[in-house]
Order: sequence, then C-alpha cells, then structure tokens
Amino acid sequence: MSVQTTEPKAGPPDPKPGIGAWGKLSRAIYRQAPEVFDNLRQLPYNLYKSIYRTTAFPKTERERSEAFFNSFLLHIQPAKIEKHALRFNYTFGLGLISFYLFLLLTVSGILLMFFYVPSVEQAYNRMLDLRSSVSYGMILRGMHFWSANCMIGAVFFHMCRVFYTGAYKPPREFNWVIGVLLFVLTLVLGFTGYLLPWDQLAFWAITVGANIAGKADYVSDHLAMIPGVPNMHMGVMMKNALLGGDTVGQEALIRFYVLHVALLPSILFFLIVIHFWRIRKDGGISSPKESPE
Amino acid sequence: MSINYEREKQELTRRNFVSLSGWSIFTLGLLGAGGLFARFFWPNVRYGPPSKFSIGKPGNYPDGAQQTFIDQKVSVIRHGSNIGAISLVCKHLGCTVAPSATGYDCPCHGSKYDAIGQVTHGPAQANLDWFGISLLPSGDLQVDKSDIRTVSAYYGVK
Amino acid sequence: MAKRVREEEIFPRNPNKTYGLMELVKGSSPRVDRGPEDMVSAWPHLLIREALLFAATFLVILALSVWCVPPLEKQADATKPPNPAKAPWYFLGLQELVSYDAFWGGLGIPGLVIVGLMAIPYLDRHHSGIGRWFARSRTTAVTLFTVLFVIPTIVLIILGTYFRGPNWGFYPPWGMPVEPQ
Ligand code: HEM
Ligand code: FES
Repeated sequence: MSVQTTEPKAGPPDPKPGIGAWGKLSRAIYRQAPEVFDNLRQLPYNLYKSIYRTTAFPKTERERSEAFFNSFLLHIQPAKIEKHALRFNYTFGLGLISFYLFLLLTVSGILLMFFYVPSVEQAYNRMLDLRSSVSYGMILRGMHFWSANCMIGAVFFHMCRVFYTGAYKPPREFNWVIGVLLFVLTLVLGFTGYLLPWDQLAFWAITVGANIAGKADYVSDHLAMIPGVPNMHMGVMMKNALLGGDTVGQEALIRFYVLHVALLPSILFFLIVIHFWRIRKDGGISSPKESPE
Repeated sequence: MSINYEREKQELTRRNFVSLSGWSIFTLGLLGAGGLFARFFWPNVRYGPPSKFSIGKPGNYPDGAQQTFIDQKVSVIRHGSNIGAISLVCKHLGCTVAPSATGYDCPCHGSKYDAIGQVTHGPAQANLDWFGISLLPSGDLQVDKSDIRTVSAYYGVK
Repeated sequence: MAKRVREEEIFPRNPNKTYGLMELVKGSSPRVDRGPEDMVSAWPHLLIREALLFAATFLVILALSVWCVPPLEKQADATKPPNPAKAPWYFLGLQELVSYDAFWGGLGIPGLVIVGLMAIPYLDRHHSGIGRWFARSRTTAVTLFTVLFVIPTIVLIILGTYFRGPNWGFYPPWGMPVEPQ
C-alpha cells in the first residue's frame, strides 16, 4: 500500500509581476493553487488513511492480519484464530454476551445518570418522571434493567460452560479466579443498583442485605471467646460502613450510588481487561488439542 | 503434547532478603494508608430521628393496652402497673415486625414472637429488644432507644 | 551439539504462505506444536460472528425493554415492610438460605462457595477433557460441580421465587395467597 504523493507542479508563468506585499501574496497563492486543489481531491482518502491505517476492504491474508494489528480496538484479538474457537456450540458466545451487556449497561447507565438524583426526597420521583416526562425514559430504564438481569444469567452460564469444558485447567487457573471475582462483582453491582429507585422492593431488600453483613458479628463473638481478644463487632462495623448509619437512609443511598455508578464499574472494567489479556496470553481459548487423549 | 511445569527453587540470598524486606515495608505502608481510608467510611455521626421520644402520660395506657409507635418502631404495652417498650425491629435481619393475635410476626422470613417479644418461631434466634423508660418532670413517659434492655424490663407506675 | 541439522529441514519455506516457522521455543502455550492449518483469519470469520452476536444481544434487550416494563413499587416506607419482602431474584437463593440461619446462610456458606470456586483449578489440574463439553474422563468433576453448585443454586432461586409467600411460608405457586393490600 503506497501513499500517493503529488509533486507540486510548476504553475503557469506569473501573469504580471505584482507590486509590494499584495503582489507577493497573490503570486504565492497562484503558484500553490494546483497542489491545494489536488489535496482537496484526495481529502477523503487521506482523512481515512490518517485515522485507520489499513485498507477498509482487506483481501489478502496479509491485509486481513494488518487490519487487526493496526487497529487499537481489534488488536486485542488475535489475527488468526483456531476454527474450533469459532464454533458457537462450544462457547455459546456467553462470555462475549456478558461483555456486550456490560457495554449496554454502561451506555444506558450514563444516560440514566442525567436524570437521576440520589436523594431520598427525589430518587423515587425521578423514577416516576422517567415514565411520564422523559422521552424514551422507560425504554432506557428497561434497557438498564434487562441488561443487568440478563448479565447475571449470562455470567453464571458462562462460568458453567467454562467448567463443563474443562477450560479452567492450567495455564488458565488464574483467569478462572478472575472470573469468580467478576461473578461476585456482577452480583454486588446488581445489589447496589437495586436500592437506587428507592421503592419498597429496594428499601427492604437492602435492609435485609445489610443486616446479613451485620451477622459477621458471629465471627467476632467467637473470636472474642479466646482470652485476650477484644470483641471487634465486625458485623456492626461492616453494616455501618455499608449504610453510613444503623438503618437504610440518605447516607446509605449516596454510598450505594457512588459504588454503583463509579467504583464498582471501574473495578469490573479493569478486571474484564485483565480477563481478556489473559485469554490471549494463555494461548487463546481452550481447545481439545490441549488434552492428551 | 506435554506441558512442562518446572518449579524453580528460589534461594533466599542476602540480596533477596533485603529486597523482600523492602517490599514488605512498602506493602505495610500501603495497607496502613488503606486502613485510614477504610476508617473514612465508618460514620462518626448518625442521621435519623432522636433516640429519645415521649409516649405521653401513663394514664393513657389502660391495663392490657398495646400501642404501636410505627415511626419509632416501638410497641408500648401495659400489664397491671407495669409499662414496657418493645422494639419492632426483627432480630433476624431487621424487618419491621407487625403486632398480631399471638404477639408479633415478621413478614420477611417468618419469625414469630409472643406478646412480650420472646421468639417462638425461627429463623430469628433472639428475643425482641426492650427499651428503658423513664418519667419526665412533666409527668410524661420517655422511651430511650439507646438504652437497650432484655425481655420484661418493665417500668412500674402507680 | 554434534550434529548440525540443516536449517531448511527445520524451517522449510513455503513461498505460497505468508507465514512460516521462524523459531522453536520452549513453553507451555498451546500455540506451540500446533500446525497453522486449522487456523483462520479473524477477519472476517471472527469479526462477523462478533458483530452478529452484538446485534442479537442488542435486539433482545431492546425488545424486552419495549414490551416488558421493569417493576416499580410504592415509594420506600420504613414502617411498612411488604409481606413477603423479597430480594431481587438472583439473591432469592441466598434469602432462602438466610431463612434457615442468618450467619451461615448469608455469610458462611456463600463465603465457602466463593473460596471453593476459586480453589477448583488448583485442585483439579489433570490435563484431560479440555475443550470438550462433559468429557467422559471428567465425569466425577462434572457430577460434583453440578450436584454441589449448579443444581442447588438454581433450585434455591426457584424455591425462593415461586414457592415462598406471606411470612416466607411455603406455598405452591398455584396456591399462593394474594396479599390483601
Ligand atoms: C463480567 C463477566 C465476564 C465477562 C465479560 C467474561 C468474558 C469472557 C470472554 C469474552 C471469554 C472468551 C470465550 C467465551 O466467550 O466464552 C471468556 C473466557 C473465559 N472466562 Fe470469562 N467472562 C466473565 C466472567 C467469567 C467467570 C464468572 C468465569 C469463571 C469463574 C470466567 C472464566 C473464564 C475462563 C477460564 C475463560 C477461558 C475459557 C477458555 O479458554 O475456553 N469468566 N470470558
Ligand atoms: S427479618 Fe424478620 S424473619 Fe428475617
């Protein structure tokens, strides 16, 4: 692929020698004009070329590989892939579906943030507004809701498929561990998001959930039976840290909000990136060629 | 094809030891800083209704009465010359229990308590809290929710 | 090294291919030892599948959000717990466990399950049955995982979702009492 270059052509002789600065300028424009015209003609191609470094319609094997190497978004993936890895009934695309749902959640979530206010006075009314006074508000909320629910299912079944195909065996042990963290984080994201509409379901689910954390007192109570060990009231501490108080209220809402829209998604994204990187480093996804049979 | 996992033996040389200690100190420092930020999350001030509230004159409660102060999640009962304040927060996982024919029932996971808050049916494993009651100079009774008592911590009135 | 093998024997050059064997390396990556014959270009084979999968996922979610409106109950009221008060469906298995014992159901067992899951690849390391569904040689592992994890998870969630009614009592879905509002 060679980039075309245009030699600046010598223009026709000057019509008449100009006088002063104006003359110099008009002469310069006159001389450069053909080149600029050429550049304008090639603008679409040059523009494309400056953004994307490979042809848009790769035909040879080499161009196809280059299409992957030369794109930031595509280079995460291998340029060549084993046929087995492409079989739909091997992975059922579940990992990728989980990732797509995460992307949909990010987009719909950011849009929802433009309307939502994390305050006990306003949150619920904002949810009602979404239904009554925001264009496509319900579809937006629906996309966030359904993506979240489906993502939990997709991640669970992805984990099952990884187990049932033995894909966690060396060298992929650590990617499985990251996977378990992703599974837990996905559930925690669901939990924190559940409080935000501030309706009855939300309030009582989180009340019960936070009190479950409070049951960690069981551990510190038992530890305290060892002489010399103070009772740390671990459960009460965890519950207070989670809710910012004894009961679910404004403090809890703002905490869950920040966790849900900033902290947890960032951690999840970070882990997903490592997850994908490890798939590459572990030699692509698992294949029957790896077992002795 | 076979995969070879070689386990290299790591020797603890003096140099390794120094570097290991260095990293340990570094990690400890980070953990300490992490601890500070964790403390940041632990609230020093609680927002919410005050823990003390008035329930009126003892005379408002005839013998055998039961009255619910739902905003405070407290049930006030009178037996003879004794008045008691029972918490309505379920000892299982904190739902609000509702007075019923047999005492108090929890809607969340089915715990049941009798009329003085003793648990009769799980999953809750403890009795409902009682709160301390005192007489104000005005003649009103005051319940203090920060003064947690056990079952039958009655306040005697004449 | 007594015998020097001729370079061309190890690294034959095929002028019709854009790739060739450049070097032999020691390592555990499955790429080693594998002929390039069953590899295909990611463009377009992988890319087109990914694009289709995205389109399918997006359409399903869009359809769901147009036709199935997510629930919104009454505004939160700290004085009136609904009866029964249920967590989101994916925590109903946990809630079912919690109704037997708060600590073990809510923290003890889930904690052990998470640690157990993470431990799997360090306990089961034998290289057999990779890359095939339900390989015959892995019957024990497959059975254990199914019986100890998958079935309990699904059964508990179904129990909590469809069989629990007022006061967390056990009712069949067809005999579920309707809550008087
Ligand atoms: C946010 C959640 C997750 C995302 C977005 C995700 C994404 C992916 C993707 C795109 C793949 C490529 C193959 C495929 O599509 O099946 C993959 C493979 C893998 N995932 Fe996940 N995953 C997630 C959660 C998990 C969980 C919960 C586990 C297990 C506990 C896990 C363990 C693995 C392993 C071991 C592989 C390699 C499989 C193989 O080599 O065949 N992942 N993941
Ligand atoms: S909170 Fe009352 S039974 Fe669970």
